[in-house]
Amino acid sequence: MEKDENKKSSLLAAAEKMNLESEKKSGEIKSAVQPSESIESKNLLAEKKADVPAEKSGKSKKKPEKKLARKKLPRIYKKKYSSKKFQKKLLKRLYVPEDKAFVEKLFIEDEATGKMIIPLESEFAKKDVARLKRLSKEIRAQKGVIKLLPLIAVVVLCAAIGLAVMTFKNVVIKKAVVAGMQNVFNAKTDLNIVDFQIFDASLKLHGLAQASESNPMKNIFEIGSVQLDFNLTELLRGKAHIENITVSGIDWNTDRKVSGELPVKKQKEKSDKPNILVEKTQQLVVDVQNKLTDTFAEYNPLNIVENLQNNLQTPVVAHEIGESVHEKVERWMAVPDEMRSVITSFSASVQNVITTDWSKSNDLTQLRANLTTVNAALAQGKNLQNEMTLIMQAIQTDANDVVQFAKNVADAIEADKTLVEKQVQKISDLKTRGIEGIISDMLSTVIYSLAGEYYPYVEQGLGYARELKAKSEALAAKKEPEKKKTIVSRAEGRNVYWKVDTVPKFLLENLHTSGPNFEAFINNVSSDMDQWGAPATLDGNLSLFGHDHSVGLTVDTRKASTYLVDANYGGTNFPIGVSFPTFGVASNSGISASLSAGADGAFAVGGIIDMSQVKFTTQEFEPKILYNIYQKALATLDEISVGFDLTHSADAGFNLKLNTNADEIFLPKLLELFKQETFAIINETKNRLFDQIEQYTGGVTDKIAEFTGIEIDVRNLNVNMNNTQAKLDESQKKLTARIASLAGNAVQQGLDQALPSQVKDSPLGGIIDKTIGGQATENVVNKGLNSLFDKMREDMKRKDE
Amino acid sequence: MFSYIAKIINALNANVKPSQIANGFCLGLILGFVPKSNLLWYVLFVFFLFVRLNKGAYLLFTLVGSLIAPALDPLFDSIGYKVLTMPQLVPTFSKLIDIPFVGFTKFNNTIVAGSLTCGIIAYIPVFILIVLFVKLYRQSIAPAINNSAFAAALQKVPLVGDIIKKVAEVKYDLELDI
Repeated sequence: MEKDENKKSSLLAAAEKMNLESEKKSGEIKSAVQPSESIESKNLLAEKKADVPAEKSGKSKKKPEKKLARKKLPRIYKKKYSSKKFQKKLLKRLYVPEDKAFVEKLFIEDEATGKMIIPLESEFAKKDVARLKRLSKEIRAQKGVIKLLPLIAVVVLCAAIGLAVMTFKNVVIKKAVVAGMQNVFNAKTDLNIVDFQIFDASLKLHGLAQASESNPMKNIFEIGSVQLDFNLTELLRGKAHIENITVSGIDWNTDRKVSGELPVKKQKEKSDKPNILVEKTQQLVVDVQNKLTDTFAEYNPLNIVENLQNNLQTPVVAHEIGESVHEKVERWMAVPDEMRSVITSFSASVQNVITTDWSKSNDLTQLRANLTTVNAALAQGKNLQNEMTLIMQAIQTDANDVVQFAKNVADAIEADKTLVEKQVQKISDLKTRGIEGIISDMLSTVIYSLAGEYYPYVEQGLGYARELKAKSEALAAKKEPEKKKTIVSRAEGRNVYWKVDTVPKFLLENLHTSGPNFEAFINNVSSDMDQWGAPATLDGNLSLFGHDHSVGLTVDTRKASTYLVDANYGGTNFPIGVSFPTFGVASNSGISASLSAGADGAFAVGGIIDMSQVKFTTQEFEPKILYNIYQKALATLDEISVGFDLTHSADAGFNLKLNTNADEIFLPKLLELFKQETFAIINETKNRLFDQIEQYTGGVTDKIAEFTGIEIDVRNLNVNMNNTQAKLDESQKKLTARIASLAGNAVQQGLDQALPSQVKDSPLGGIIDKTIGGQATENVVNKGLNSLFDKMREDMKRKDE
Repeated sequence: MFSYIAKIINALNANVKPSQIANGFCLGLILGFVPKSNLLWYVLFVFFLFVRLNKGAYLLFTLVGSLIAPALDPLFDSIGYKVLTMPQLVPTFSKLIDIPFVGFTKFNNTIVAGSLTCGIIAYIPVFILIVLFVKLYRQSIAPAINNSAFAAALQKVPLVGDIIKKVAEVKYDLELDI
């Protein structure tokens, strides 16, 4: 209690003292503060006063200035300070001497505690309170060098951004990878897990499957995992330095559970740029066909016959004599029949006389009458014979001509046959000059076709390589960028690197990818190989669908390099072939090839194709026999080796050189088969030619034969006529002899009876009988012959007209 | 521009720590010297915003530093090159350059390194001079100016009058804040 009272009394005393001192010092303070009031504040106050309405200012003048209690002061003025802390916390933080003095005078030392304090009862003018508040703020502003709160806020913000990136980075990358691949393959891409570590500089992809556009229920490939390690430092310098890529668990053509089809997009138009190699191939196909046709055309019987056609005599001779023979045949065609009827009727008329045995007849009158008939027949026969003789003479003349014609035809045929034999003998010797390169040409089409198929890719690849080299060179020769014309610009300075900067803008150091039947290594792929100091390389092998492939590729864009691209390829069980309408080649081949390309676009591809199970097919051609021979010879080409050198340059274009054993196998076999079949070819040719000759001479020879038949008929009829005439003669003789015998007997008897024997024995009696007996026969014959000759004359006259 | 000057004058006439004013000047000078096309400048700029300093002085001297820096670039280049190629520092620098994101600072550029080095070297003497000047100003110059007829006349000069007006506004704002 006492202590409290003492304390109270001491405080009261201090307060009184303070009041006294404050009143005493107020003048000093004011004077001390006054200089600290800056010119500006004075002006400000003056302005403030001007802003205040006149009434208000008038009131303020009237009313005493309101005082504010100590509690209205900022906290720092309500605290108790030891003299040391008072100096440190307040006075040392006031740098304006007037402010320092102002604050120092507010504080008094508490007698009880010995600490510096502003008395509780103190009252302050409003402007002093404001000043103290300003000073308090200025003191507080000197807390430390760093503003922690804003710093922490910024740090938290950065952390939040970092957290967001860490949270969503994998999602964003997954979407980017899927979208990119879907854009390339035009089919759905599945990606299970993405793990991107920024500070570890690695990207891992698990379960990547790319659907096929053509078969949506199949994956083109499926990748178990992809591990990508890159250099973050270089990446932040704007360089893509991929240190290592490992792609494992690759599988091809796997099944999908869900269709990988995407909505149809508008496809890019394909380039209309003509493929030079395709044109070359088409040209070669035409060449092969022409060569084949030209070569075998020489041995085609049809062609031989056609070529000999103009050299044959038979057609000319046949044409020349054909009409003459025809005329003669027409002239004599009816004669034999007409003659036959006349002779037949004549023979019939005299048949009775000829066949009767006159030796038994004793009737002299009858004998005399028959003798007369025989004589008449003989006379008629004689006339008939004369006419026949004329006919025979006429026909003989024509027959002589026909014989000559026949001889001419025979000579022509003989000459033509000799010519045919001579020409046909040439077939036996096959000239292989024309088809020596035919297999090479066919194989060239295979190479061109193969090259044509891959040439666009090669051209595209080389284009990339050339572009890469050009970029690399352009980078090296890059000029200083033109500085912007500004009034104040900073110098570029020099970038110092403590290691040789060998990392170009893009660098893929190692890529290793593998699958069940697949492995590939890609190294040192860079945008500036001069800087990196090594060429890009690729080595890989793939076993797929029974085919083994191995590839080696080096791309060197360095200035000192002598080549741009150097590649080699080896493949087995490679289906190589071509199929054209005129011919085709199919094989199962092993390829070993190398490619070397320069920066100027020129390249050379060389290698060997070991073709097995080779099958050549050819369009059928005439003659069938040659086609069969050709096919048989081609069938022997089961295994062949084709060495090739395909070069291309801007000036020379494409040039292909083939080195193959195919011709060596094919040609001997073709010759051998040809020799075996020569006899058949010759026979076929001969037969065709002889048929042709026969066709030409067929009409003429028929007519000659016909004429000959007519002639023979006429001759036979003549013989018949002569025989009949001879028989008539004999009958006449017999009759005469009988009559003479009977007459002799009678005369003898009469003479014997009437005449003296000297008259009986004289020839007079016989002559008288003979003359009287032959009269009737002669009349009949003459009448028939006259009518025959009249008819013949009329026919001839009509034909002449 | 006037607000920066006003803030400086206000700080000189207020109880602002001389070191804060000096820091504003020195750090502004460093920022002014360092080229702006790199992460280092932005990092420093942001970091300096968290330092208690006089912003007027800081921003004004950033501007002043930027204006005089091109003239000093040859000097910065030579000094920067010497610093960057100092054998003692090379191992550190070569490790530093391999740290991700550090490359964005372009500290390996001679101008960047030289300007930063010059700024740091200039920091201490400039800091001391500014502190001394502030003290001298508060002790002697400000009272002398305030009481002089010249100051009154100066107020009538348009530019100076504007500055004074700005300073008054700043101060008035400060009081209203209270």
